[in-house]
Amino acid sequence: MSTVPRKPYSPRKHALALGLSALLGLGMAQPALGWSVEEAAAPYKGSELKVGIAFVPVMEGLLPLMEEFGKKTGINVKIEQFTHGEWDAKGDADLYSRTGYFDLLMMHHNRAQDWAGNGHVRWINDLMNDPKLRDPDLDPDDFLQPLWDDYCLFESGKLACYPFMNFQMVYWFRKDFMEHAGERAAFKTKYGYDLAPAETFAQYRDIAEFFTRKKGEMIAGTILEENHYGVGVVGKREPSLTWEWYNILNGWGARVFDENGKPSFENDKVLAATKWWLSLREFAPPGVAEAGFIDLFVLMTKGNIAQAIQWVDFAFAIDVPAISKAVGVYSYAPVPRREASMAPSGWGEAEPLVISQYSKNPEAAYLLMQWLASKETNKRWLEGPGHGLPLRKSSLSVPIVQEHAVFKPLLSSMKHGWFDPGFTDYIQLREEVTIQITETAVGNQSVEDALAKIQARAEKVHAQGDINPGQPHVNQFTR
Amino acid sequence: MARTVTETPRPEPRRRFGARFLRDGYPYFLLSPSLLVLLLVGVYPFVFMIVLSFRKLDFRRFGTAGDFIGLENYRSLFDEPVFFSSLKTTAFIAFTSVPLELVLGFAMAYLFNRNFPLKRLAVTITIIPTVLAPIAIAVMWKILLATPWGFLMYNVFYRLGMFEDVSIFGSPGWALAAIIAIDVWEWTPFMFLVFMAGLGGLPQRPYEAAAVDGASAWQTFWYLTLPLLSPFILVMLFIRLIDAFKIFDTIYVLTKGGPGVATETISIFAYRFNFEYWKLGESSALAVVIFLLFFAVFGFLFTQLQKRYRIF
Repeated sequence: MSTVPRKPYSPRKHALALGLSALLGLGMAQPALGWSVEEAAAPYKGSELKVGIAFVPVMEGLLPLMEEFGKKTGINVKIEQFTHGEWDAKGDADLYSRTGYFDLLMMHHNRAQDWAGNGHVRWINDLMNDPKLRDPDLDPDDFLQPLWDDYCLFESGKLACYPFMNFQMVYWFRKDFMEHAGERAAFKTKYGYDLAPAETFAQYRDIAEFFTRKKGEMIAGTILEENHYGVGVVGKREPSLTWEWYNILNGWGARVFDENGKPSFENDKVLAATKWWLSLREFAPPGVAEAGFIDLFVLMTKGNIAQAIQWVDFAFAIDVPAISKAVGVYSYAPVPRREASMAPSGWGEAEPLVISQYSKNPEAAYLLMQWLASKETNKRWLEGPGHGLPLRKSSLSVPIVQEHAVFKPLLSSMKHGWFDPGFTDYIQLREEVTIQITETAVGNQSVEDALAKIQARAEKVHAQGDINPGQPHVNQFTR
Repeated sequence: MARTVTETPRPEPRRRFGARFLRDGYPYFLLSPSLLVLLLVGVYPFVFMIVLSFRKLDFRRFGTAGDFIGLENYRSLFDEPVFFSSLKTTAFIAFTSVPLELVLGFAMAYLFNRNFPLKRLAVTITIIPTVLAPIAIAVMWKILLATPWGFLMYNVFYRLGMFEDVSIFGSPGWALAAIIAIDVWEWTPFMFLVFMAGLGGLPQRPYEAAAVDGASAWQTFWYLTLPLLSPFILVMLFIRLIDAFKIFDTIYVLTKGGPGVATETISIFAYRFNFEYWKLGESSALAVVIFLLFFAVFGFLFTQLQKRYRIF
């Protein structure tokens, strides 16, 4: 028997072997432990991404983060911003002509069927499942609902995007008026109940009437230098007219699509809600008929409007001294409804970024989309200048979300809110609504006539029963 | 008997093809690049548009011309109540603003048709509205007249107790009046400029003769200036009317055709159909209908100007 002589035991060699084994093991575990966007983006370094966005105030805080992505990854991110109306036309033109000019496009929900349903949007399921691209910390369950279900998910599990924005409309009110002892006493004397942020439409109207005063009268201990108005409403022939109208209808419990998704504009509740809403103009500034939602915000910065239904992101801009005389005077609550027992809700729009089907850089586009939706980026956006919007449950613990009064009503608005239908030709219906409402508002026809014409148009353009075809969520107009 | 020699005219030598081409075809050859461009960017799209007007085309889905559907697009267009009201609104704006521009522009040119100190500066300032981009003009007037925060509205009109309960761009009558006023403000200087040139080029002899004959200022104006300037007036009317029918930018920025459909012109209507609804079949039908209307109206005017006034 021959034996190989044993070498004597060497602690140094033993340690070296152990160390080498550990290194080998770590190397194999690297993909699981050490994913980084820099590494994932390495193959796409030097490429260019064009992003098309409708300008919103909170972009101020997001733009630096997008530039940071560019610096980290070496991907050149070019952002082009437009007004909402311009953006819709640009986005449509880019996708329908298949130019692929934009890699990432902001998608309004009223374009869901036109864009995603007609194959102009690249589904991201394969990109999300690619271990080289997928952030292990993505955690889709952390996204706030209904941002995922209602905006990103399409039929058969197809995914179009990750949440990017989270706009909701909430009730704005002058908290300084509500807290003023003299105003509270006078209100109680006149209406028989305590002055507080309106929970019902009846209270909303009482407050509107109460705070409509002429120049020279007093309000909260101050002599008015100009007329003051109890409510701000939109009246211009533009999309924001429909948003406000839908807010009122929703709060009234009025439905414009029945349980089968068929148009149903001519019903008693819609009629009553519309008449009530138009009657508020008595307490609104004279320019209401030419005011869209941005004009309304401009009026609110003058500080002579007591309450309105407005977007949450404007809540950050109203407190900027350089542009507003109404710094620190507004607070926020859920949109009022017909009865206090009804669930509060509001109008929403998530405007996610989608990848163009014609993009030559879908992987790079995916990385940017994922990075913007990450936990870390969302928190930094919220904490940064101009603030941001919460997309995730984990972002709700960020101090600004805990402290700023606008976020609580934002979250309640999301629960039962509405958003634009996504069916093809919805835009025609939307235009018809704005035309008929404004015709009625100037006295050219009755509300009944307006609703009849809207119903006729809705029947003409909406042949299907599904108001958001291709998407699995519950018809939000009927839930 | 003397012989007469009759000379038979020599037949012309047959020109070679090259020489014939040089004589007859060369001008067209030189024009051919321009004609080709005109065909490509003018005639071809126009013919294609007529073809599209008979097809079911949804750009969102197909991206190319769809099935032939006959006159369905035209029927759909005529079923739109706003189509007819937009034609009416367009005609109202054009036939109100253009005559006003003509009269004011002519009056200004007549007043300026003399030497006075700082005349050049005055002319330069006067024509500023015409050189501004229409979109800039629309935004400017919105900032001036928006209710209730417009600069003019808040600082001037309200202080004078005017428009306190009126929303200029939110009331049908006022919105239309404002659109017309802004159009007049924008294009009167253009009329002024052309008439200035016209007045400056008038012959002096008739005026000298009129002065000798003792004609009054009014007689000189009515019997001399106006007739001599009539070709300018008619041409300017023709050109501005065509332009006024296409008004878009001001209305889109200020009212988007509202309130209701009070200021919706045919251009706004066409924009909606084309770029918001993406109904290219109906939009093409609309373009064909507008072309035929324009052809009928302005073609008639054109022939009249040619026949009666030997213009064009």
